[in-house]
Amino acid sequence: MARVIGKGIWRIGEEENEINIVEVEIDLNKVNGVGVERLKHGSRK
Amino acid sequence: MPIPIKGRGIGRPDYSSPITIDVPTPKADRKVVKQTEYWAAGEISPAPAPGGPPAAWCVGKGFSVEDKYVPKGQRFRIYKFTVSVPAYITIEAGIGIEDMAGNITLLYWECGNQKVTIDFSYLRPFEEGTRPVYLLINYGDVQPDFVDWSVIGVVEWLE
Repeated sequence: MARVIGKGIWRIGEEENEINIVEVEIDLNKVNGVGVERLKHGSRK
Repeated sequence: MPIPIKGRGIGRPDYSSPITIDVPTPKADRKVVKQTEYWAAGEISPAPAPGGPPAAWCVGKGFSVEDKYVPKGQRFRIYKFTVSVPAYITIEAGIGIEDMAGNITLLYWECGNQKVTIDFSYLRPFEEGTRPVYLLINYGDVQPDFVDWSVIGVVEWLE
């Protein structure tokens, strides 16, 4: 189950709800696109 | 004394003509029958650590309170994504598209001090069965207590 890392508010049209903000677990083997190296190496430091 | 700029044909561009820019826009393959605003804002805590891996998150079940992904027959467009931290440090925010198989295609990253805004011109629509993933990297020396973020967009119902 995804880990909750925060709280927020979400609204679509007139409907408004409190929401959980959940962590996305990233499988580096399934990532492509711009800046993939950022995920692999994190910060440039 | 002004230097005269000579015309095209002798090694210089022709500055006398207006410059036109063609921007490729997605062709509307399906008619949009309804649009609804989509807005989400929140706080995640703690912020990613300096030198550590990026924070990656989504909202609710994935796309909304009820849906893991953009529902069938709908399309989602982000107008603006903003993220900020309560410290004057360099951060970099990114947005990716995740499909149902967990494949993530990173679309764009933007770097800034304390606050980053990404607008729609760098993104493409999130089609049904996909969802946006928001990312943040901390390039600073401190770990802020939290990250404040918001996203505003539109959900389109397609014919």
